[in-house]
Amino acid sequence: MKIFARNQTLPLRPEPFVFRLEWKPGAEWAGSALEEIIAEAHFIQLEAVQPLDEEVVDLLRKLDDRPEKFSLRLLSRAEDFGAETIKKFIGPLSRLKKLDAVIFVISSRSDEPAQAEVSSLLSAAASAGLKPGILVELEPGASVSGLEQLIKNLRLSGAMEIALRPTSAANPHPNFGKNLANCLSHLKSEGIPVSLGECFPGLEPGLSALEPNCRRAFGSCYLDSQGLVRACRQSREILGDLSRQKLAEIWPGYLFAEDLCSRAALTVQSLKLEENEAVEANGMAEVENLSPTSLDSSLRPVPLFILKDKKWGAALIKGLDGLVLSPKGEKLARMIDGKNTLRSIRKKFGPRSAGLIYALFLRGLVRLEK
Amino acid sequence: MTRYSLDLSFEDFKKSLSPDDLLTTVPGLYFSPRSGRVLIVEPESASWLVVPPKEFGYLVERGLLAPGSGARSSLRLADLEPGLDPDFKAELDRWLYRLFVGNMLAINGYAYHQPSRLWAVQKYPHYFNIHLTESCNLACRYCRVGDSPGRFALMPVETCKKVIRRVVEEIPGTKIIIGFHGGEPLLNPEAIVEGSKYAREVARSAGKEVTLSLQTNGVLLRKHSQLLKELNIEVGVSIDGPAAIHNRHRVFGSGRGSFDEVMDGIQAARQAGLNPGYLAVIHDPGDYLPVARFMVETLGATSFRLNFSCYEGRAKSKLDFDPTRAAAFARNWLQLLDFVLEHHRQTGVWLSIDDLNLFVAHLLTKDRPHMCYRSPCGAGNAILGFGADGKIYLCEELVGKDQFCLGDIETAPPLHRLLDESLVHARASESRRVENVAACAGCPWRRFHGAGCLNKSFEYFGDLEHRDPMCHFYRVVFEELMWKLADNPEIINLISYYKKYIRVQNEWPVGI
Repeated sequence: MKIFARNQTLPLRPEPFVFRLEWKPGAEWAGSALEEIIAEAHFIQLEAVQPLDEEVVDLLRKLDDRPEKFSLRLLSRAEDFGAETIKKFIGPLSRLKKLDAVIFVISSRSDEPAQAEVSSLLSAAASAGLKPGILVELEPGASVSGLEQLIKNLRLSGAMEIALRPTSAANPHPNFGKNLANCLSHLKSEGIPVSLGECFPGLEPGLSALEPNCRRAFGSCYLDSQGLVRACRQSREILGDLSRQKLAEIWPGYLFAEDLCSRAALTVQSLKLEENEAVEANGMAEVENLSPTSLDSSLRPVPLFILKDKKWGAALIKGLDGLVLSPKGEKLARMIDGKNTLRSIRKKFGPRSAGLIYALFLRGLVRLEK
Repeated sequence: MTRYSLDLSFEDFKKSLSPDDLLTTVPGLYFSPRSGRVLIVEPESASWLVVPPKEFGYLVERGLLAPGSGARSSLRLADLEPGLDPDFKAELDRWLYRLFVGNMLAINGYAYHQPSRLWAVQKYPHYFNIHLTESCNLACRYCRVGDSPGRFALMPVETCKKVIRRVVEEIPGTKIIIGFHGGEPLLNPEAIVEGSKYAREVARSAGKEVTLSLQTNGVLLRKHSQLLKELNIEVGVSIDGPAAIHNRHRVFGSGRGSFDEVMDGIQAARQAGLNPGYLAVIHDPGDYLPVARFMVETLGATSFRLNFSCYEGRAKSKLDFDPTRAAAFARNWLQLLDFVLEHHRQTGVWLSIDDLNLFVAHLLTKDRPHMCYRSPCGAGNAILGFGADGKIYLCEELVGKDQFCLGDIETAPPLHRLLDESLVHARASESRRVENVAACAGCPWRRFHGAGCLNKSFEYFGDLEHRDPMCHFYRVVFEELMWKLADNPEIINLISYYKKYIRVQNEWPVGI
């Protein structure tokens, strides 16, 4: 399999379509940068690091009224800010059509009263028609069994999605990775999937099967309230400063940089279709191992993604997931419309184009219909 | 027999399996654990399965289910069996079958149900709801018609006849229902008499079958019951339960409750040989059980409808609507199920409570026999509403709302053409598809409930882009009904009269 970077025709890191914004009153990005964010965003996640107030709800309302298509997510700390304060805003939040989820951040050390408060928050948010979720911050010294019980309780209380992240970039326990991986695997086998909100530095081996929601800076970035741009919340490297630069000036310098996310060097997620080599699907070894020879050529791929045009091709996006496509790959992706069959696509793009479709199928970006 | 047949039996499935078959997991499934068992929902085909703990663990461990993964993983059938627990191995084919017919597992890329072929809706309406007036002799506190300083006009008889003639002659279809509504339709008896006779006459000429119905508050039933019987009109009476509940909101303009008059009307209707249906509006969720008991024990009803109040019309100013009220409604509504089961144990009779019966039906079939709770809803494709002034609307609930007016019965082009060409219709239908309502697009219950009621969403949120304001109610009740059906398969009997409109899927969806 070729390493895609050699040809340098597609970015290894596309411009962000997922924006994670730290919010507090007067946030630097809430000025002119917000227009740039809105123009590019597929997902905007606001993390309130202060108690919810009218100002953040007003900002969400303004974003909600925008004609551009993107989804909003709100993260708020349940314990520090008080469940009652948050409850006050559940009614107004439930009227936002773009609000995909409200995520309550809770510490793994939460005591019972705090857990009960979060449970009542989850119930109230769900009852108002919101999709509530939980982000558990794993404190150093947290017990895995306690964590498992906490997660089970929160799921039963109505958390529709559950994620974990560390309190800091420091590795809390050298052996935690394996225990944590076992705990997550056990929860999964009981029907409670838990995702990683961010990386757990130093714990990669035990958790390598789980792709963190941060997508390892692929199409994603983090903006703190001062307007400093980073690849993710944990990254110490500042890519730019919105008080002095436009977002559009910051990102191009990093399109091909491998050091945006040190743990993501080999997770290139690009698809390219060229005249001679037909298909390159880096990071998708399954395509070679499982040749889709048994696929009926009358199957019709149905798109589960949206395409965002880029000057180098297109970004193919589904939720927080995305792929980079060359101009020819983009043309092929546009033929995925639920009407064209594998046969007709193969006829136009060559025999190996079925491999690309199959790669998209495995990635959950298309479904196949007869 | 191919795997595409919707009659695929387990035996045929088993015969069709080959060691080279490529099994692929399906992303986007919803998992809900309870006491060790796990409910799995495949949202796009509205399939579901309850799996015992041990089996669920095997299915995850062997890579046939991948909770939380947005991607698919593949393995060949031949690679699945080595090392398999002997107990599970004996049941493996059965589990593969259940997952396959539930669209929770693809084989060689094939899904059993093709989502794009599911959920088709009819093109032209069959139900025509005519508002003979918006005037009413009551002033119910939750009425969809707001307070008005003056009386509303009655629909002229000629307008009523024109509506009837045009729907019978211009809308394709052989069976139609004409509903007289309002306001209080019995305030316009002349239109009822002339309209009914005319409807039967034009239907006969057009070779169509027509059913006539009327929804009344019951106050004028004593006066008109005999007439309604003679006209062979099916009568529905709105009554909210025992006096203490009914008189809370179903009041005259003076504020006095109307219970006594309504009960008198019901008695007169029965004396005339009518067999009225009953509808109650529930505003306090604690009323579900007492109202159901009243319907059964006092009215002797075995079939009735319980609707919750909605944020519209007069209700906006007269009643409170807590944004988090859905959970309490769901909790109390679910008690109806125990009530129905208990009633059956004692009497051998299955009650038919709308929408309990419909929701059970939705769990057992891909058909959506009712005009509501589907995507898009029935506005303009299953129902049309006609205002007393002859204006044409997408739905009865939208009568009087200019945004949803298609035209006027006097000037509109042929009605089938009006529906084909109307931008109002096209925009509303497109807007109310689950894939176009952001909150519904990723909801596990989207194909059980659709995108909700266009009118209720519009009234509560002010546009067509929002979910149903009570969507949590539906999420909860559909999930609970799945669990209850898994534990008590006799609940299938609740689908009552919907049975003749649906095709129950071939495999009982419960894996235990």
